[in-house]
Amino acid sequence: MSDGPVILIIDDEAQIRRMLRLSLEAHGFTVKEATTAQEGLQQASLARPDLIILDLNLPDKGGLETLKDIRGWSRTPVIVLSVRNSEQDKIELLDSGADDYLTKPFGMGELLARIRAALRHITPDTADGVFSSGGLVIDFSRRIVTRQNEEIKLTPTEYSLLKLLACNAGKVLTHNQIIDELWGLGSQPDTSYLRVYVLQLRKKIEKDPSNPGILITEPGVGYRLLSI
Amino acid sequence: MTGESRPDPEALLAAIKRFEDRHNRGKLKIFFGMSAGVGKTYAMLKAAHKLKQEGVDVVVGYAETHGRSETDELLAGLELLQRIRIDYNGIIIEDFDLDAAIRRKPQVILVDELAHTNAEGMRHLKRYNDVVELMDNRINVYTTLNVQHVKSQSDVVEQITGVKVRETVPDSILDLADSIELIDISPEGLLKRLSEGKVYIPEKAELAAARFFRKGNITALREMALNYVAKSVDNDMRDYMRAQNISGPWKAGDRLMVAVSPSPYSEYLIRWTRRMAFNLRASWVALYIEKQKTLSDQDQRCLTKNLNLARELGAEVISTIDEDIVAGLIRVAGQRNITQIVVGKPLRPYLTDYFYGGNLVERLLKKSGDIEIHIVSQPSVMPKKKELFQNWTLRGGFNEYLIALASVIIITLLNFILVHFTGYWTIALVYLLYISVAALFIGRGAVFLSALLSSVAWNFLFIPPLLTFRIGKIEDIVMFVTYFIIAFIIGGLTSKLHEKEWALAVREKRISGLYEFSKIIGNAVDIDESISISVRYFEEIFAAETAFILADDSGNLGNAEHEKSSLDIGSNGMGVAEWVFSNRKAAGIGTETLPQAGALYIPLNSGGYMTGVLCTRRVDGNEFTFEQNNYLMNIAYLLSMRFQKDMVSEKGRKTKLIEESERLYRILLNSLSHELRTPLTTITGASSSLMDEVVISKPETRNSLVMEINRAGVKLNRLVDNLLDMSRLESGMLKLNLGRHDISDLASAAMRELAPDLINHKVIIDIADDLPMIHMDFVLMEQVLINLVYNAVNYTAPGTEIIIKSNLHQDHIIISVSDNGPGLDPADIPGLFDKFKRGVSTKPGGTGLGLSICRGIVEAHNGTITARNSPGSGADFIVTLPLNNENYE
Repeated sequence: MSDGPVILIIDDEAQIRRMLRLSLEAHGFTVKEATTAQEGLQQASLARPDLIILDLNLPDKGGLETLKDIRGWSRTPVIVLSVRNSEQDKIELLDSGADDYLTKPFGMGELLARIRAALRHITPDTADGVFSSGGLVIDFSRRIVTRQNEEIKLTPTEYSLLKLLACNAGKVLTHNQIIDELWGLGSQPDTSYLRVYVLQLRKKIEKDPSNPGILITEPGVGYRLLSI
Repeated sequence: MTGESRPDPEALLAAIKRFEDRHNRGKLKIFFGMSAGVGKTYAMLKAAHKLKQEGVDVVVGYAETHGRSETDELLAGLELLQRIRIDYNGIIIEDFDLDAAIRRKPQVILVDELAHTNAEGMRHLKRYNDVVELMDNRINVYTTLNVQHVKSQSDVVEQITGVKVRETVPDSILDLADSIELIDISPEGLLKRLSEGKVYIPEKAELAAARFFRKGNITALREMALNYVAKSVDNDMRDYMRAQNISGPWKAGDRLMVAVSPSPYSEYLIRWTRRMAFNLRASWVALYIEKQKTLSDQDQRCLTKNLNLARELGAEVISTIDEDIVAGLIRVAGQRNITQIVVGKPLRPYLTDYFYGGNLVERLLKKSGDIEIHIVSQPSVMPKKKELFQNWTLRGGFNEYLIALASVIIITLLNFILVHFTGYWTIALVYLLYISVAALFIGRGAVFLSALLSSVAWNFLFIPPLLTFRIGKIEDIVMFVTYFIIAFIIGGLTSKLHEKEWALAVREKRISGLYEFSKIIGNAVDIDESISISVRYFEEIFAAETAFILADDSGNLGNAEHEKSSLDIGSNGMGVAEWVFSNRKAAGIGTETLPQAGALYIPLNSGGYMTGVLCTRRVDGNEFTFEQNNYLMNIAYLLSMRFQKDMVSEKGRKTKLIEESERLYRILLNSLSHELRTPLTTITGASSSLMDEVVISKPETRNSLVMEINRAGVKLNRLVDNLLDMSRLESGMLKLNLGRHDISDLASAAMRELAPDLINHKVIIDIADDLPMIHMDFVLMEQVLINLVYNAVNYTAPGTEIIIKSNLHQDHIIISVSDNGPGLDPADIPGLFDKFKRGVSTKPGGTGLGLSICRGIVEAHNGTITARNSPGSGADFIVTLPLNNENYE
């Protein structure tokens, strides 16, 4: 069990740490714990975890500051545990380098999926392979997208958007991250353009565009492409 | 003078104020006539029809057509306001319904007969009060009036026609009129209408009418009416010219002052001054100079009547205290920038004139400087003073005369002894000494009596030949005459000095009374105390019962007397108070509005901010005197300022309280959401893990997860218990289920409950063996112990010791929970047990309820709970419960 990826949990609630440890160890992860941001930063540099689960409500330091401290010297994926009704905080966290977030309370399956997505993201072979999810196949080398084996015609912007989401499959991307990536840094962050493109893309790739199964909206935060 | 060509700033300001007042209130148009029957009502209705044609919303509030057909016809086509019906001793009287008119709120309302006296039980005494209230409600009013009903003209009318005019309208009401339309008809025309029966005359007044409607009278009345309207037109024009800076023939800035006394003659002086002031377009002041002498009831009534008359005629009424009328007049004239003084012509010479150096008029002329003096002689019809010595009141002074008599007798007896040693001339000096001393203590009359008696006694008993009034020697005659004069002068001068001092003292006393009042009011901590102080003060000073009705936060009048009030005003009184509050005018006894209300209602108005209504009533049911009224108004002003200050700070306090409770609410929500989420996250996470195939295959992990779920459930339950306990404590619904219990039992029960949380801590229980059983609610006290130990677990590092100790200390049981953790932040210790109080440096989470619940429960047991840092390290929480605890519940 100890050879699995190392996950550092930074949370001040002993009960949650115990629950996470039990579930994660059952799935073969090695778990380290920290109860304060200070301790968490120490552990992050000492134990060299593969992924960090960071609670936003730490006694000694704000979650955002802790994240920035970690991002100061490490690219380790960070999944943030937050509470509802703080979309702005989430966006800020994601824009500041968090890889994903989960709202308490959450199901363990969801957390495991996020962990996997974040861990997969650091293995850099997706960009020139083939991505497939729920009948949707993207062949990056040939620049061909098919759904149920039927080719779909996409405009260059739609393709770029789809490619960006597919490369980060399973992970949430904020509106700003997408806009910066597609239209370049410093563009006007007008999310309504983005919404129009997402709508068009959904019409082409989703079975039921009004009830999307692949391209999911994260309310108030951004979009996520599920890898099913 | 250059000053005359420039408009006087005060006059301009007055004109602006008039303009603004008029702007903010309805306009008043008066259809003015010389007598009944000239067609005022007819003209008014005609005008109403014209307005209606122009699309103006016009309503007939009250019109008296007296059954004249041509007038009746005019009523058709106009909206008539329902009249109010009042049952007056079985007779139904119809009258103008003021409230209905205000509710209807037309643009223009017609209200006939301005001088009408309202039926008893109506809000106002007079119809013109109704009209003013209508105007205050921004309703324009058309009304009618005869010249004989104008207050300043009524005495002239009485002189001309010999008919006493009872219903009068103050000139100040006429000043409010925006336009006065004269309805004129020739005397012949009026007489013709009269003979045709077109003039309404009440049956019982026919005889008087015959005397009244004589051609000579009618001509005189017509002249008066024309004159009056012409003057008001003239004044309007002057206002206009002043505003437009057109130079005119007036002398700018005149201010008149009339000296008012209790004499009936004053009434004439007041009317004279009013006419003079009106013609000059000047403001005027009525001054009453109070003397030491207490007035007889009749004089007091007469004075109040005179002063009320002056007020009705538009004077500013002031009073001052001075023994010397001339000095008082000159002093007030200087203070008030008076340019002309009106005094009555003295009826007869007074003895005292010789002491003062001339009579009142002569001395006034000497001292008046720039001020013009009008000396008005008394008309012959005025009743003479009945008795010469009525002025020489014995009331209150009678004792002084007795004292004077007795003292003279005693001094004389002493002198009988003295005369053997000194001779009879020295006796005169002894008498003089007595007189100068006596003048310091007794009134002037008594001093003069002493002087007279002593001179007689000296002459009769001491100057030879004895026991005769004859004086033999020439030097004795000189001596006697000299003595007589000196005695009178010394007596007069000393008592004058004494009286002056007295006047000064009274003036000072009044001012210092107000000052004292403002001081004690200033010291009151809140409105409640100010009110109870005032109520007591009113009782002492005025022998009056008092009620206060205060405005509420939204600026409306509250619906009950303040609880500290000593007077119950009832629902009728509340109605009066409402009126006073919204109209900002005094009402009730001694005023023209609702005088039958039985008490005086004074608005508490400070700088336009209404703080409430003061209602006061003398225990004997009498009106307040003029002086008392003045004093009351001053006090009301002081109080309203004080109340305003309090109300503003109260509002601030309430806002703060709301902010504070919002802050607490936020803290509670935040901590609740954290406290709820932790166990919920555990339950959700663990239970979803249990569905995972990987976990299903691992029984150990499964068991651990189920245990976590269980613990989370217990934690949630504890939170809910705490919330429920808190709300029970808050609402006072906490009922102790008392029984005799053992402390060690309590501790072990708490430990069982906390077992899952205590894995990492070592708990030492140190309870004395000989502790008696104690009366308590077991479940609640267990909760206290659980909360304390749970806190210790949460705020200390794993491995820390927690010590639960209990022992007997005198008649108390002490239970302490100590840890050796980091201890408390000294800044947190005060208020540690307050609701939602979270430590300065504590971690997030926790509701901040635990300790406050502990305190609530312990206090319900008549115990105390305290916290401190133990001398070594760590925190001590100490619960003290009384041993003998059976008598509470």
